[in-house]
Amino acid sequence: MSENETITFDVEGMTCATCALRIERILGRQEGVAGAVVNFAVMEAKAVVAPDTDVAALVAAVDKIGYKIRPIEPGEQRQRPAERYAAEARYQLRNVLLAALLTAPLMALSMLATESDATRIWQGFLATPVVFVFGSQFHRMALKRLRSRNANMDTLISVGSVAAWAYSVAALATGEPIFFETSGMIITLILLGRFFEARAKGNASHAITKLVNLGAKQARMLVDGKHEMVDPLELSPGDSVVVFPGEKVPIDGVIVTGRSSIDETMFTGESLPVDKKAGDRVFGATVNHEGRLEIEVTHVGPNTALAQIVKLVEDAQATKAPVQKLADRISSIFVPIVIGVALIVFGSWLAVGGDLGTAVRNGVAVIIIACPCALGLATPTAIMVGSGRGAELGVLFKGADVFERSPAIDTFVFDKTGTLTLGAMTLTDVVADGAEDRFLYLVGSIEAASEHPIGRGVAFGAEERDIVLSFPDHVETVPGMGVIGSVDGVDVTVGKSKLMADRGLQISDDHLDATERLEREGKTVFLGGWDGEVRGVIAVADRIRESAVGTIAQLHDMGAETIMLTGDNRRTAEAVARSVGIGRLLAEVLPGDKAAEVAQLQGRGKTVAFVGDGINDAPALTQADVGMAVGTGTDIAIEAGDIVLMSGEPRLAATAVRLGRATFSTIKQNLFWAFLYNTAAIPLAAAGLLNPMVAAGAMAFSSASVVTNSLRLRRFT
Amino acid sequence: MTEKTFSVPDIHCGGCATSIEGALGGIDGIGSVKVDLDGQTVGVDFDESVVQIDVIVNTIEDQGYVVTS
Repeated sequence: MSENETITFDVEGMTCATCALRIERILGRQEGVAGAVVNFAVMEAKAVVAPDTDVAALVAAVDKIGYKIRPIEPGEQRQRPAERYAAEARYQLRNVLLAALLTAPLMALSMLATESDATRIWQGFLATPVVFVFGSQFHRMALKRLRSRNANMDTLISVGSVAAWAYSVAALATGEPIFFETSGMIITLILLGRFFEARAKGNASHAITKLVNLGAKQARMLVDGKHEMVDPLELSPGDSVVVFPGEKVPIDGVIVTGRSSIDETMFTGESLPVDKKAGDRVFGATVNHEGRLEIEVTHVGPNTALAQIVKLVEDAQATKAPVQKLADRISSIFVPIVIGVALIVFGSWLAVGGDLGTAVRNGVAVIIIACPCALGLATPTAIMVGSGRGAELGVLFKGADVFERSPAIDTFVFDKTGTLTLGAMTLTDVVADGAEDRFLYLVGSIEAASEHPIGRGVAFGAEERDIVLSFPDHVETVPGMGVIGSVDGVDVTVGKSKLMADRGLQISDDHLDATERLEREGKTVFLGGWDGEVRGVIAVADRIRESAVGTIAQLHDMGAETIMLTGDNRRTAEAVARSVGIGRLLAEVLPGDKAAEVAQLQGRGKTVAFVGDGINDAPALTQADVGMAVGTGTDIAIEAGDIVLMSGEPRLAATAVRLGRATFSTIKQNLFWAFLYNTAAIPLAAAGLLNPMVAAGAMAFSSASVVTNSLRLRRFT
Repeated sequence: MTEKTFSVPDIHCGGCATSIEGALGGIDGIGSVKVDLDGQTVGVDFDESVVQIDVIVNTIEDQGYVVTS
């Protein structure tokens, strides 16, 4: 039996995650297929097949459910999804330009003061291809909808443009007013909206290109002790590279020799450089500030932190915009009403003794004027401006549907670590009966030698207080208890009270009181002592992000409830909750239960936003109505979130919701303006008074209102 | 005409609606098809003497969905 092989396919036409699932199932059912995996984000399908499988049959089976797949030859370079969006935008641009090329002279002719049979017939010639070639996609969709007794935006556009066209063809013979320019304008403006939408995706792909460009262009590979400049793409795990001060780290790896501070702002949003030494991980595209580093490459190509961010952003853009649903929802009600009104108008004219021709003409006129040209611009312009402004403010909306969901948020759930706090232990208190400096010197020197983050926090705190630490003669860690070591000949013990008792060190009541008080404040407390006695108490705590307090207050002002959900122990959590002023606390929640807690809130009718950054937050981020992934960028959390807050600032969570609300209400206002002028003109049409001037006026006013209204979002702060 | 609602939990977007409507729309004996995106259901009006429920379920599943009830 020969071995199965893996075929990779390029997939076209997927609009959501379910599409990927469907293709997977269909592929899995085909003969010879042992398994199939479809990745929506990278638009790729992989199938494990028996050697003599008919690949063409697989392609045909998937084609039957409406997707195109194409086997990728080994070594073939795939087009990035971002480039495809750019290509789609170009295609839409060509479409709208060609349509405009015909519509512009059509408009000009319709506005001529003197009308002749020739200009009227020319208008017909110009309008026909716009309606039936460029508009064919709308007619096709409308027919599809009609078969299932449905109407949406496409129906309205199709009915409106065809009605205006047919009415005008008939009017050519009778010499009555024609509405060819209305039919042409409807299609052209809708196509313009489609282009805007494609370009909004393209703009976000611009952001990707920017991210890609953050990567270093060259790496100094170390070969036989000599530097050799290579493209970072050529590196493989295990290679050694050298990074000089001021240079970008070319790729993900581990420091072999050297120590430096590294600017990781792009990943963590933390503006302070991070100290790194041998054994620490570094990431491509971060900036080496001080020392020469030798790095062993660990991750290359698609596995680097930067490549993963790029993939996540692309994933975000791949989601389609069901916000359009609002326009569709309105249309689905509007279309039957308009057709109903048209029938009533038709019947009324007959009833009052009008001839059949007049009745038909006025009925159709109602349909013509009812179709708002600006309808196609209402949603895309708002989304384009809103998401562009978001990117400027550091908020990436993954998919336009987030705009529709975020206005309803009434509950914010924060994961404590890293979102409200800095996630780094800082020295907060020293109690040593007047001998603080000596105490910190001895304890700090011992702690500085430990690898523990708490120890590093203590050592940093000592250095901040200008205490010069020395190297201990020896250090020994007592797991779970503390550290024992000797500095300048003094045997120092640092740790929990139990370790003090074990080592025969006496604790005074004052020190016990201090310990209890500091622990109540939610701090982590240690004792330190030598020569048979406990000499003092130190406390460390996770520091609150400066903007956290303001953010919580702002959210309360917006009428939202705030909840902190954390795995930390109740006392620590309460201390943080109190100092940021959060509304409710759910502490000691197991990682697996976070999603369940979110689901429970939703079960009580809440619309929940979850703000988190950890890998263990991913399920909760997905469960929440809107998941906001914070900062770090290296995390799977970003993949699960709907909104990415580009820096660790919790303030951005409030910004995201406000921008979401502003954009969504802009969409609603736009739809109102789009429909207003046209609907207002319906009575004129019903009365038989519709003329091309009225139609053109409604078109111009509603389009201008919509565009101007959307542009207001640019000033959102 | 009989009316029956099928539960299809994978329904996710307008694309899903279009493909299910398209597939069912071409079958003799099926009147209207309504896909409810929020409820993730497919409502079908059909003539029981012409088309069996099995055929409807199979048609939806052939599109790569799972019908749960």
